[in-house]
Amino acid sequence: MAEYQLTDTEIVIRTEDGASIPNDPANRDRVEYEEWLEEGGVPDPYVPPEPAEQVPTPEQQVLFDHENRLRSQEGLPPMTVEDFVESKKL
Amino acid sequence: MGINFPPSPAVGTLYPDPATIGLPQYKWDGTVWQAVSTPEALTYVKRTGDTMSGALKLAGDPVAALDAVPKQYAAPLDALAYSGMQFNGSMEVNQPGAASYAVGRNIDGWAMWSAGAQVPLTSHTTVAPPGFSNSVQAWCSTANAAPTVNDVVFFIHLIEGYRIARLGWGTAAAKPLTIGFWVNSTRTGTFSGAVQNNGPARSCTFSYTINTANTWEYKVVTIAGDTAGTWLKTNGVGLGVAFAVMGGSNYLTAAGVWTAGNLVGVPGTTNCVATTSDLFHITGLVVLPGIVAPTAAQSSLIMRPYDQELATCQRYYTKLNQLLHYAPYVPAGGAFYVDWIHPSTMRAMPTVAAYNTIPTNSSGLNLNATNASHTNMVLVATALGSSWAYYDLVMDARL
Repeated sequence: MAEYQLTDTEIVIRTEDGASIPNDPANRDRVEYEEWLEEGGVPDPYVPPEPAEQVPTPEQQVLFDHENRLRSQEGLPPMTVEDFVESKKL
Repeated sequence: MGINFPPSPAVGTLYPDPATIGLPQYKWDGTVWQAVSTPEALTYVKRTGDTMSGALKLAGDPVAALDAVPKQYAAPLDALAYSGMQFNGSMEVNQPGAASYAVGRNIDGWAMWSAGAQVPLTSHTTVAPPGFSNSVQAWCSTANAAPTVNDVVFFIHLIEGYRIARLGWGTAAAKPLTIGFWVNSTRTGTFSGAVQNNGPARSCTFSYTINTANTWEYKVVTIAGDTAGTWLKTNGVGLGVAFAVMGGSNYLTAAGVWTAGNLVGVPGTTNCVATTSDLFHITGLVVLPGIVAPTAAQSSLIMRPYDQELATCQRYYTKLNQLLHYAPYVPAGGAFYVDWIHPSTMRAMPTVAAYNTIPTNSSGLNLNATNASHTNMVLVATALGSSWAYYDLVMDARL
C-alpha cells in the first residue's frame, strides 16, 4: 500500500490516517504529497466503491412480495428488487 | 565652594552674570552683595506656571503603579495587545487535544522539531507564571548528552505572512521586532532562539540567560528588521520564532546578525535534553512591531482572551465534534451531501479527516469538496430510507 491513494477527483487520500488532501499549493500536506511524487512516489489507484446492495425496507418488502404475487398470478416472471425500486420510483 | 566676586563692582552689578542654573545670583548694592530675591527660579521648577528648559530624564524604569514612566512605556496596553503578531502566545488553545505530543506540530500554532538521537516530547501543562494558565514543556524520553553538529531540538511558532507584513521586512523600510516571553527550566545558563523567514532561508539568532533553575523568568529581545531576503506577506509562512532546547554547531551562529540558512540559536546554548530529567517551559509569547515590550508585570495583561485566540487558531486548524449528517429518505446507493461552514475562514484549503464515525444505514463517508470557508462531505445510503452518520471532522490548514 502506498502512502497516498488517488480518488475520482483531485483530492488525494493519505493512507496513514485516511485524511483527504485537496489540490491547493498553499496546503502543506499537498506540498508534501507533490514532493513525494517528485521523489518517485506512486500513489495507489482510485478504486470505485462497490455498488450498494439493494436491501428493501420492511415496507418495500411487503410491496415487493405483493407485486411478485400478482405477477405470479399473471404468469409473469418475478421482478428483482432493483427493477421493482426502479419501476416504482422508490 | 568659594565665590570669586568681582573686585570693583558698580552699584547694581550682578554675579554671576548671566545667571547660572543651580547657583544663587547676587547684586552689589554699594556696600554688600545681596542675594537676588528669587534665585530659586533659576534652580527649581515651581508647581505651577514654570516651563522646563530641557528634557526630564528619569533615573530608572517604573516599579510602582503611579511612578512616572519614560516615553517608551507610554504605549497604551490595549494598543500593545492588539499589535501582537503572535497567536496562542499564552498556550491556552489546544484543539488537537493531546496532553503530550511527539515531534511535529502540537498545540495550536506551535511545533517542535528535532534531529539526533534524543527523543523529545512536548506536553501541554498548567505550569505557568502568575497571570497565565498554561505553558508548553519540552522534555525527553531518551536523552542526548553529547549532541553532534547536526543535532537540534527547538520549539517554533510560525506566523502567517498577512500578520507580519506591517514589518516591511525585505525592504529598506524594515522595522525592528520585539519579542517577550516567559521561560522556566531545570537548567541555568545561556539559552537562545531565532527569528526566521519561510524556508527557512534567513535567520537572526538571539540569546538570553536563565538565572535560576525551576523559576519563571521574563525575557525581552529586540531584533533588527531584515532589509534583505524574501519575506512572504500573504498566506504562507511569514515569520517563525524559534526557541532552542538544544543545538548542534551547524544550527548556531552569533546573535544579532541576519544570516542565510536555518539557524536556531547561538554558540554555547544550554543542552536541555542532556538528561531525561531536563525540562524547558515557555509561555506568554508576544511578538510586537517596534522596540517596545510590556514589562513582566504587564505581560499577562496584554494577552488576548481565549475566545479571540481560538477564532484566530481556527484559521489554521478546526475541530468539529459530533456532527450529524442526515437525510430523511434516500434510495439505496444514493449519495447525500452536507456542507459544514468553517467557524473561521481558513488560511488555505484544509486537509480533511473524519473520525469517530457512527453510521446508520450509510457508508462511504468522504470529502466531496472543500475551500477556505466550507467543507462538503458525502455519505451513501446502504438501503432505502432514512440514512445518517455522526462523526468528528478535523480541518487542517496549519503552516
